[in-house]
Amino acid sequence: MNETIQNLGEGIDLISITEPKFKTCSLVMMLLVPAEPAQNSARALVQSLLAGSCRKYPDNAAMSVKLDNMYGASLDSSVTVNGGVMQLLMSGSVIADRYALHGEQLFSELTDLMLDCLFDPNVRDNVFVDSEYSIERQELLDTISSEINNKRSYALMQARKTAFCGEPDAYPVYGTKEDVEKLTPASVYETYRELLRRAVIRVYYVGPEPQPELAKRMADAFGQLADREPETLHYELPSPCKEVPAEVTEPMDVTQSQLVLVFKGKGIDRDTFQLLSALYGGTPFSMLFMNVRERLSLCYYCSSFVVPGRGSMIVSSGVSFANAGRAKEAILEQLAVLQRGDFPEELLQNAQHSIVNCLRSIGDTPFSCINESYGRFYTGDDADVETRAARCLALTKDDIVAAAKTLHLDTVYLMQQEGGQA
Amino acid sequence: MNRNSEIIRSEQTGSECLHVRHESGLDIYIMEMEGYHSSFALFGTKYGSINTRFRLKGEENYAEVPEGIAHFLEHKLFENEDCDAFEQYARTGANANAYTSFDRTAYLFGCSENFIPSLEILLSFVQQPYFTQENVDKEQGIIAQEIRMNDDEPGWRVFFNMLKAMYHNHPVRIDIAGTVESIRKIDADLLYRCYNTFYNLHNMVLSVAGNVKADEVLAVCDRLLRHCEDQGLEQLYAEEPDTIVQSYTEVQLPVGTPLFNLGFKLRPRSGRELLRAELTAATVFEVLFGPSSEFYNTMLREGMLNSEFDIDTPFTGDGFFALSCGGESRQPELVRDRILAVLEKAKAEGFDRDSFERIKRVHYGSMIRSCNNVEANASMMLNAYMSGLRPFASVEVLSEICYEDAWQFLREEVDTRKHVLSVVRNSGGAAQ
Repeated sequence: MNETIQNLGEGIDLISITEPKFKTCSLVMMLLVPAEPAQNSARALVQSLLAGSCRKYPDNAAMSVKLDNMYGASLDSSVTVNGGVMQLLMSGSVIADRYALHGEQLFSELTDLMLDCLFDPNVRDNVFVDSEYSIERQELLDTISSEINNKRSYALMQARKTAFCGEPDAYPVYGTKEDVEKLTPASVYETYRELLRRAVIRVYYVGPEPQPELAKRMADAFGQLADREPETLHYELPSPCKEVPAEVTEPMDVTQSQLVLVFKGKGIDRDTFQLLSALYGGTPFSMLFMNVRERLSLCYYCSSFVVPGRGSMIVSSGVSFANAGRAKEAILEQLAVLQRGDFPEELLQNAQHSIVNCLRSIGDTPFSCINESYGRFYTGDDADVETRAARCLALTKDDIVAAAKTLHLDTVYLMQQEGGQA
Repeated sequence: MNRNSEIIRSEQTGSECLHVRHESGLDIYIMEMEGYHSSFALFGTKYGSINTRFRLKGEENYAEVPEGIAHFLEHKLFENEDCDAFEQYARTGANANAYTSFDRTAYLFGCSENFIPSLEILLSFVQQPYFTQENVDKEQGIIAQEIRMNDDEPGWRVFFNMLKAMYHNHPVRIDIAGTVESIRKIDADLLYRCYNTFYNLHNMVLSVAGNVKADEVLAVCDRLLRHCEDQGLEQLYAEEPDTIVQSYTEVQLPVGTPLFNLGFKLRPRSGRELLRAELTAATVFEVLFGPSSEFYNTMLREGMLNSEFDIDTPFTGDGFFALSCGGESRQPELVRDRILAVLEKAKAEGFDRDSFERIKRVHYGSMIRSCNNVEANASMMLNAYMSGLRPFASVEVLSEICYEDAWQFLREEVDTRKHVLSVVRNSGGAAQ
């Protein structure tokens, strides 16, 4: 795998990753701006409008036919918040030209299409065309109203609202129905212009061979942006821990309760936090899995993950309401075990193996290449996979115990079966 | 050790794999993927939730076992007398899991190092059952919570309700994990009975892809696979009428926009005939209802659908074949009526030939894409075995499908009277 970085202008980089084994070419245009919750709905709408149509392919039908003709090329958009940064992604993928049955230049077509989407959107008189705007607006409203459908992710979102109250993560990434209703085609167009002006932009290419023309085409396209003022990004946004943990219970017409616990720590570095979580609840041999699920049979899943940039770790579990109290106690007890260092050295080594195994799988899919490269950018840590693996293997039980001791319970969220009794 | 082996190649994708019929009775597929760091292995059996009535050669009566037992067995097989398989995998760093579907169970792991020790764990624990009443009782609570989790999942419910309304007797109408009541009937003896019936290597496959060497894989197989006699397994399914149970079913749960699934019951089939039917049906449905279709874009503009609308992969297996699509809509009945009208028109008048060729290209692109992925390649080989096909058959059959055959399929096989609309509406537990 070969990676090159070329600067295309102020705050704009092209990262080209060549990996001969791949049979597809992927192109990702990433706009990075400070997370500003009041802008979430407008930004989400911009992303879906840009990927949904452009002046040349002015509606979903035309765009879909174009993608179909490119052997089912994909063109997707997404918005996520990562620490103090909102990441707006437009990503496309197409089979490599050598697999085209009639000699089509598919990657070149994909590049043109994505540049059209970003720079020549479906706009008339400086507002998004109303017909497509209405469709995407309704789409966003439906997405917001359907957040309840997946009870596990809904419970996590509700827990984050309390845990990170007043901080960017507390706010739904798509905003709220009220936010969407305040938007207009003109205001969303303004948001689009603002994004092009303020965003740090990273363009990623991953494919089987170099694309020597790509840098020039990107430089020409991004060179149009005259009034660039890219923002300074702050990914790390540690969240203060509440002195008294907040407890939230929400009744719901469900058969299974959702239990979420948010813990916050201090000064835990990325490698240590990742290993700590793998050991505690991130693997099928972890302390939570072996105790809360296997030993006590309280749940089907009980797992932990780290919230990047927030110094926080979240545990989520689906339990019967009658057992929610026992599950919470067991989760806290396992944290206490971790803090006392009362776990076998072998468990630590197993968690290290698990992480090293994952690290060494990076590079086997185009998006793992992009995620790894982007991870180096946003953490400011240039360490390659092998260096990170070595750092993980060098961590000791004392390191984990010291980090675990900084973790404190911040929030408990419980989705309660209606009619369930405490 | 004697082996029947052959290299199977795909001209279209440039991929190839080795197929070995091992002396033990096991079929083994290995794809060495140059340049990849990771590897993926699947050890699967043709045993899923629908295999509840069976007998072996020489047995007079068919045994009938509780619903959900295949899935229960999958959970319990990870436990052996000394320790849990997950604990063993923990020492190699492999990422292990398993799944049970309607007609198969597969144990799997992915890793970027220690592949051979992980493969040894996989082949060992799957061949060493250890069931006790104590460990069976312990699992009841865990699986009950898995069932409850699915009960709260509207996408799961809307699909299974559709199957219940479509199939009168076929066990595909029952949840893969069974019910909280049915799993209470499971005991250690029943698990052994099912294990000894279905976990015979003649009924199983090993599929491996990625950073592997065929010789090393086969050496482990030679060492660890236990020779099995073919037991002459026979299965019995309750007779399934050629009709649906009811055309509409609804349940209320906390959801945003109502969810729906619209399904059509088709004549079941098998082997290459099934593959051809699956690819034909998927292509025709994509032409008529996919994102580039007139139907989809009209419904989008009218606000009757959103981008959650999707055409499901044809739902097929031993004795069942359904085509379905679904998503979110404020007026699912109206969407159903429009879909039925589009189908009737296409049956009578045909459909756009260029669109048909375009969608065939989309499917071809999708097959090429999946070649990028270690896990997808291992799954492709396992799925081919389960369907009685050779790897890469999909890409071959796709190139053979023509417009005339597709139109004929639509006219003769898709009966719009055999449709089921399943809806999940908001119970009021969620804000609109």
